[in-house]
Amino acid sequence: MKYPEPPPKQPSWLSLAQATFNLQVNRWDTQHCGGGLRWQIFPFNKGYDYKNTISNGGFFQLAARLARYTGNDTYAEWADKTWDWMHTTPLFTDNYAIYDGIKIENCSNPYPIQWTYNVGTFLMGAANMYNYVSGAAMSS
Amino acid sequence: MQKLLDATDIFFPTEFGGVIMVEVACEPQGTCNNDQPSFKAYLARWMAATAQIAPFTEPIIMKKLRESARGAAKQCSGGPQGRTCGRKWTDSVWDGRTGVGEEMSALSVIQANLIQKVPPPLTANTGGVSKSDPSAGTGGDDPVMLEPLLTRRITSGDRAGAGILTAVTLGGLLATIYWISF
Repeated sequence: MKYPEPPPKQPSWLSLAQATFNLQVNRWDTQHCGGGLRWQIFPFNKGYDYKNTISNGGFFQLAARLARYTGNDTYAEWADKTWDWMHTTPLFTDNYAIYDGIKIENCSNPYPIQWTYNVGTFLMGAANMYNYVSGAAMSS
Repeated sequence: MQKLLDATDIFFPTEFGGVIMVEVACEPQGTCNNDQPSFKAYLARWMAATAQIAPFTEPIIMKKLRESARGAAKQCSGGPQGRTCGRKWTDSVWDGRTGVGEEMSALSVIQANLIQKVPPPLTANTGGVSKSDPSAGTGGDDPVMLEPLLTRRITSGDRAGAGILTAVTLGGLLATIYWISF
């Protein structure tokens, strides 16, 4: 889109996105439910024990968009990892029903509400991956 | 990708022709909280961008965005100026709802219909000019570093210290009250 960049001494839009990505990578939690991101950053916030689809879907989308923009495979790997983890949970069924989240106290019991934006974020991320993969295939 | 697109079908109920977006979890029941009326905005814009970078989805997506926008425009007919957007795009009469989420969703879905007039999002290879910094956000005093302080478990030493501070504060307060009273 070539949206105007911030002034030279400020971080670029891309580096802001990369910083967000890097911070989120640090928060990937393998100790509960085999992976995924929590809804909250700080333990004292309500919902810290909730791993929800929008947090992981947002990360998936961010990783996919960074992969497409930069061509860097590290981002694509994290998108794949997030996709795969979602499928190990009851949040993303084989019929592509996408549910809202799981509490770490019971990883197999999803909060079974379906929201437009949860499907939307995975759709957008997948489109970016589709574009990234087919673009890579076309150039090789 | 096709499966993900099909996964959006539940949000386009067949009873309204399968082409108007509905937040089925809360909209028909009238139970949406403050954030939830905005969710349709995100699906609308992400569908539009998907149509750009996965062109095989374009015909289906544009049809749904077009009809949803029509519905949204009709629903944006409330309030004193007759322009306030309500929630239910399947209803041509204003449903009485107001809110930033409702406005965002209507704006997003109507605007999404302009997507074919603009090029797809750029990449670094197609003209994107934003400077990369792959190590941005790693190291330094960012919120992640603060977490150990916030996530450290409360020990009995902490509790004892808190007890002492409370006692000192209370003692000082009582002493002051005694002193002012006499």
